[in-house]
Amino acid sequence: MTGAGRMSKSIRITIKNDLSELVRVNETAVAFLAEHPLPPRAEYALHITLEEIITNTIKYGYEDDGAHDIDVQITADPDVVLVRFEDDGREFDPRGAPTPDIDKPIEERQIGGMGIHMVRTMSDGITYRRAHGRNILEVRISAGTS
Amino acid sequence: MELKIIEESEGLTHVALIGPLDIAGVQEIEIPFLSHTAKRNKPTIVDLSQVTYITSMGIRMLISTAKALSRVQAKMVLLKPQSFVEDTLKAAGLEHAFMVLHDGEEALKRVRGE
Repeated sequence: MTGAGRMSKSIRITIKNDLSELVRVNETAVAFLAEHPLPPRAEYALHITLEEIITNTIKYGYEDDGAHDIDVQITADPDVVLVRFEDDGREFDPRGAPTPDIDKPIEERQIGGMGIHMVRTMSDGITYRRAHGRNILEVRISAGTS
Repeated sequence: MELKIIEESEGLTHVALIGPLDIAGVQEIEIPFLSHTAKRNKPTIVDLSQVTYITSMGIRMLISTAKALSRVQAKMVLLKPQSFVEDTLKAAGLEHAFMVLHDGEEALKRVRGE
């Protein structure tokens, strides 16, 4: 679904909590970017954000094995891209997730734990709130420069 | 995601990854990639010049490979990553953990310990 308001363009997709759904998310993002191109840095950060946040939610967000919906909305304004994630998983504010020890030599590195750190580093702001039993996360990516 | 074998000799493994190194890409090539790199126990060059983006799953695969090679004292070089890919490696704190080089001849020398 695309919409417009004050020159913003957006698309929304609802997926199940299954990692295979990432293919559909990626295809949706690619189609959206074909129609609404972004500067290379913003496009790159968008791909990283989508995969890391959704993967984290699917892998660690649920206490049961049942099917859950995850809503993803991408809104592109002239200067910023806003990616909004909404899910009914356990409460998780990625802003408070521990920073991995990136100073350790590679032999001592724990594999994993990098995704949230990468999103925090590559984005330009994250907001989070818990409402009605749902996580609502917004990642802001500057689209003003390449 | 595509894995291209450039050289497999007694003294060197040289491969190239092509496309997005995301979860789908890793699922597609991880087994052959590890088979052609980590399991060969040779000095290894991984050409990243055609990797369009890399997520934590891709980084995880590269760390696993580097760790496996490190255990047999074999070096690994990441060659010619695009700027955003290199930025991602830096964001993950890996610019010093991996040898990241942009010159093929230099990569060959460094990986062989010359």
